[in-house]
Amino acid sequence: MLFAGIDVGAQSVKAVLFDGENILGRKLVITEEEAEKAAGRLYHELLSELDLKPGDVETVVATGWGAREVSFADKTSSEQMCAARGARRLFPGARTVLDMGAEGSRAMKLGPDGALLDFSNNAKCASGTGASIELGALYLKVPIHQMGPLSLAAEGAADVSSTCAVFAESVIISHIHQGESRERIAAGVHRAAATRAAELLNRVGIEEDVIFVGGAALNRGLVKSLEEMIKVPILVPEHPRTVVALGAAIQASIKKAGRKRRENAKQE
Amino acid sequence: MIVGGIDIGSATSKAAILNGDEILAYHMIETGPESQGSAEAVMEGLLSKCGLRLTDMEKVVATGYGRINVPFADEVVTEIACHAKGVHFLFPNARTILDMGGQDCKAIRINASGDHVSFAMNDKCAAGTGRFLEIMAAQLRLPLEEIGELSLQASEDTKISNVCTVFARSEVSRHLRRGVPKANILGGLHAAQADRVYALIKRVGIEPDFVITGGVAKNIGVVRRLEAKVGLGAFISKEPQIIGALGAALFAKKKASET
Repeated sequence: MLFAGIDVGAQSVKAVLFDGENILGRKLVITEEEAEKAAGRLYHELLSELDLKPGDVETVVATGWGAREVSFADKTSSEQMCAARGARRLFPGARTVLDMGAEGSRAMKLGPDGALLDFSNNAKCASGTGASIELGALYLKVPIHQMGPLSLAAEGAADVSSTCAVFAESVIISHIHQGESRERIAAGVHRAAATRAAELLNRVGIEEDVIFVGGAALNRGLVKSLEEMIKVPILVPEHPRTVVALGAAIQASIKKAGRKRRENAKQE
Repeated sequence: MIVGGIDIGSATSKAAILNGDEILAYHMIETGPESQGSAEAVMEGLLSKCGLRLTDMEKVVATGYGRINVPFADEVVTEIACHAKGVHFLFPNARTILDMGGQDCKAIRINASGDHVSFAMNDKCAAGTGRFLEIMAAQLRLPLEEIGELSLQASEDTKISNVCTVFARSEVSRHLRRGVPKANILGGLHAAQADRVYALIKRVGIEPDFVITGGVAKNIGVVRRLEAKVGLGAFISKEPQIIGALGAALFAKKKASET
């Protein structure tokens, strides 16, 4: 039996196919297209790569801010729940999960059995999301994927505001004018984002294992900065961007099982 | 008695010179990357306007975000106190002041003597500050000076659901791609700006007369929407950006006469 998870984020759409045990395939597209169209195309591409048809999939669960626009999904599930499910699948010891995407971030607290106990969100402010690092990259004139390596080469970090990404920009510009090194500015940008992420994590309480998912988790500079701040090692999966979509696919399999159980119970 | 006031803001640096109660001249420049250089440049421009030298001024008071970096200032005074002083001088009946600057926004309540009795401030978030409007003007490729007027021509205000300037900017580009008229987008942006600022004024309580100062006071779109929300007409001076510098000069005068 096959299950699909679709995660419609602010900047990209992700799809994962799951058979209840293994991940059969994952796919991601960065797009400005409408959620419905982008999600549909991505899903069909993933299916055809695996020689499958939509009819082969039992249940599709959509998540992310555009989840409700995915008309071919059977259900939707929250990003918090999906991030928790996906992270737990990949790391059975997961107790704290941080998900940082292009336009939002959230921290989840899991119980010993993996149940989602608590969460804390930032969906209103660019500071502490991928957007703040992208803005930093823009002013430093480096491609986004070089921000991490640049900051890892720094000794210390320049002071960059963590309260507002727009005000951080004026600080970055003035650092550049004053001849501050690009490495230290990049480190400062990461420290500002890490400060906000640590605030979210502290609100739910940090317990190991700590798992970091979402696009920002690809940034080694950010991971290191956050590790220094929370003083706990952080585990990053191989494909951090598709963990929430994986969680949605897991939700699809669980919801299916739940319905089956209810049907069986009725028959008895 | 000749005295000077200087206000180093995040976006602009202003200076004013007083002879007794008469404003001899004022001057304004963009703040550069370094406050001290901006302070020297704005003062030089001011002095050359009235043919005076730095030593002709008995006292100089500095205010604003860069006030500690003004080497020729005798004293520093907070922006809140300077705005209260400057507004009270121009509008003796003023009780509520809204100062909308480039990088912050303040609501100040003053009493009949011009002393501030309470204030609320946002300097943590770009929403509700001049920076928000600057960024949106750039995104829409329109001159900052024109967006307020244009916003009043909106046939309907396009709903802007993000408070965050960064996210609202992406929202604006999505609206543009969908072909929403710029005037309607501006209508929504100005309504959002007015909502944000109004929340701040409510925290200090509104009592007439209501005075608006700072660069954003020149934006008729924000002013009209705020007047409608507050239910009062706003008093705005001919040059609303120099009120802080004027207040600083008035403090300089007071301090010079005390010594």
